[in-house]
Amino acid sequence: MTAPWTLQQINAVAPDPSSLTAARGVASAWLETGHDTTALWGLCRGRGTTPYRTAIHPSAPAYTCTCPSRKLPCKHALSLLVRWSEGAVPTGQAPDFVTGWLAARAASTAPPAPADEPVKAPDPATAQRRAERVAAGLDDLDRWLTDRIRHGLGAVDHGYDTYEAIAARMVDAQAPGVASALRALAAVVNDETDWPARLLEEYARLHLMAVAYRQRDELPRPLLRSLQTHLGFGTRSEEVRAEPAVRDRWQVLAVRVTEESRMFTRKTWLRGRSSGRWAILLDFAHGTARFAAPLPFPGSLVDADLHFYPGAAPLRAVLGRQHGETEPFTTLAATGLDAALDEYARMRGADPWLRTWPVLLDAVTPTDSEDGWYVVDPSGRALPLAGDDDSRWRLHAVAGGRPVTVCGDWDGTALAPVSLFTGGQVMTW
Amino acid sequence: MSTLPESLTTAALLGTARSAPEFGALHTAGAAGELAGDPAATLLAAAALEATFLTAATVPVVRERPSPAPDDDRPVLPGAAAERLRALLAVRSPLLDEWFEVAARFRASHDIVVDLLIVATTDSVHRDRLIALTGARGRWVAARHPEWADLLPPDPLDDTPWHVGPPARRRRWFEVLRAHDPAAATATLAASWGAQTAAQRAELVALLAVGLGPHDEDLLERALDDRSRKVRAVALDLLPRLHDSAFARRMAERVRQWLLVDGSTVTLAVPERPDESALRDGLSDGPARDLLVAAVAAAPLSVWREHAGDGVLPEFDVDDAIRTALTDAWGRAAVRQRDSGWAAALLRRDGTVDTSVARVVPRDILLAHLRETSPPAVLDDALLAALPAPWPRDVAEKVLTALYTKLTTTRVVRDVLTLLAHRAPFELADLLADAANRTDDLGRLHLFASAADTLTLRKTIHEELS
Repeated sequence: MTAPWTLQQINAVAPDPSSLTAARGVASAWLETGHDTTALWGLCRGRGTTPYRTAIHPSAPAYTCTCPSRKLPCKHALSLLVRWSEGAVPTGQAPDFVTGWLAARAASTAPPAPADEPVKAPDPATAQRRAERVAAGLDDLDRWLTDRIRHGLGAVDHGYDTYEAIAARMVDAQAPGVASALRALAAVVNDETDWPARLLEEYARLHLMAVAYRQRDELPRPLLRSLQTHLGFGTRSEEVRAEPAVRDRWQVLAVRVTEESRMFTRKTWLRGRSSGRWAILLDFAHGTARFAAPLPFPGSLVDADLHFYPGAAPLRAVLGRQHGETEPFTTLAATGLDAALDEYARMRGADPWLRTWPVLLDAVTPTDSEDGWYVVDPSGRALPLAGDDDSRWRLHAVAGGRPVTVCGDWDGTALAPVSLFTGGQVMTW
Repeated sequence: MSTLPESLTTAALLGTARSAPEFGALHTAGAAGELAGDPAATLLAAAALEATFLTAATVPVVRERPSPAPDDDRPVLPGAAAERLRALLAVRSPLLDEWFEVAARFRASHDIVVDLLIVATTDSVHRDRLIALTGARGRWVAARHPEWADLLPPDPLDDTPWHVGPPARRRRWFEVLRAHDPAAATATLAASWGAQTAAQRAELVALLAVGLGPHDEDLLERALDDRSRKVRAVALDLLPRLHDSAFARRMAERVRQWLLVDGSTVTLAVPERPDESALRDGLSDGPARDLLVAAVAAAPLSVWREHAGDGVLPEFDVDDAIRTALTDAWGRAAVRQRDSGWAAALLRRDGTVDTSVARVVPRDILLAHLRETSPPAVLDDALLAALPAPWPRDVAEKVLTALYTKLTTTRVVRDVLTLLAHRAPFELADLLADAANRTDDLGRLHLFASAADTLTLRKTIHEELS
């Protein structure tokens, strides 16, 4: 059985802060509790005559309770976890309701038997038709871009409608990645003082896509896959899972959930403990922030296979077979500024359309210098710090002018922090 | 990253139809020179090359590291207690005072420091205690943030806020200086007396209540001559608290003249119209009895020593009206002069006193009185209000028993239950819940039950902070 969870882990699985408060309220209501190598269980006195029966499978994690609460985990499960973390749950023989539940769970969550027939390859004719539509669309885009450069960016219209029109054309051409890049450009002109340079850079990036796609038959295959991803081609999950497994002890460095028009995206930053390789997991949920896959919390480590999305600078991955329990890690091998910048340059060289790459900087001190925010390494060398004021002040307060380990995304200009490690503690925002 | 050079952006802004781009100065000039074809496409390709080079070639700049925050040796506030604080702050709970008191030995964990500072900017009531909770780290962060720097207590030795600050900041600095060096604060205020508006003078003189002493006498006498009635009123409130002042001697003299004592007989000799000096000392026109009460309440209690015989209180043969008036005035004098002997004597003689007087009675005497008093009489909300937490269990139980055996007004039940909920030992929660179950009156059931809840919540608060 894994070590008892820390309060931080319990916090991470609580559906809302009030659940934890409610959990403290039932702390004295436990009649009997126990745990064995797999599960935790307990009987908790409720309002009725029969006590609630609560069981937890921490390594999944999975919870069950006979109480009527619709929250998962309910306050009883949370309270049981808290007792366990305090060392107040003795070992024992699992009662029937626990073993029965575990057996039922094992049956329902067993991986489906591998299909006999090989995964159906996509129809080559369909793929060919799509490639031609995209190519035609990109040719139009390139004409549009060069026309505007010929007339001069100072002379052409930069209204939302203008960019929306060409973006719509890209949607028709089945290049949604290009469409969303174009939609962001009107705001660049509106909001940024240095817009000519930024706009030219974005135009150049799109031009490079058009040029590269024209030569798609000569591109190395990984680079073509990267280009297709940037253009907005989806990658079928069977294809990703068919990629060779990369096994490592993956350290979970940060998790961030964002929402856009009721679509919740959970982004998880992983770094291989032995390889130092980065991986990003993305999960999506519609309507609520309840994700199907259980959440590995920052500060934990999982020995698992990852399958990377194919590309010239592979980063996005899916979790494959797990070889061991999730466990907390206490040490973290981060890099200096140079190694991080070198890695970014290498990745940007492999995939010229890449915007950001994760970094994990060792012993840097956040500081509010007169000309803005920086992280400074022990020798006084600094990189600009991005992000909103609120999160930068939080970073500053937690570091307190002392060196900390910062995880974030580097975009060639500034570091957008996502988590911070100091003295065995992890902080994310 | 440095942004794309002007040679490229200018050409793009003007348009390649009118200006030919120049690639010679680019980092990637070699590769850009190879480009050929349509000038617009060439410009875009050169921009792509240069932008990729620039983003990938960023090197660190040199910046100074900040001075680290000092250490705070206090243990970290437990997570449950931090959650509790959040909940109490959200509803501005009356239990916050107690929470902060019990939590004083902890410091907030660093990750909630910013949250607490944000609350402190809008919650002036708990500001100083929130800042204290954030500790060394909170002060370190706040000092660096332009909007949070004002949260910190100003340096009493730096009088810049006094000379240039807005009124609130001047007031804050003055308060800090008063706590740090009372006499210096008096001198500072005296020096700029004429430059203050009447409202400011009144407000600042009122702050002298903390650290009041002989060094304030001259300024307060000066305030008695102030044009503003408000300023004079504040001075008249503070002066009687000074022992052995000219004001006290004037009042003592008046009392001797206005109340002629011969053995146990007393004759009132209050003048028809108070003289100039009496008017200045706040004794304005009015019925003789009011003037007498005002003078007695402002005179030093030592005036009565010669009439007291063996005890503290003098015994006079007077009608009830005068007796009540004297009792009232002595009570006020005992409060102003913090005279516990007089306060205790009044309690002993009358069996009860006002809350303000009872607060001056030493705790052990007040407790002994409550223990000895007959069970129904223990529901004296004036005395109970003056007994600070924690109440001994026997007194709390006596009060609770009296509450549910004696018929009394709902107001008293409510007031006394509120006191019990905030001051009784936690074990009383069960008895309160029992009382709630036993009563037939729905209104009282609710009062008992919510007192039990408050007591249980307080118990949880103390456990979370243990």
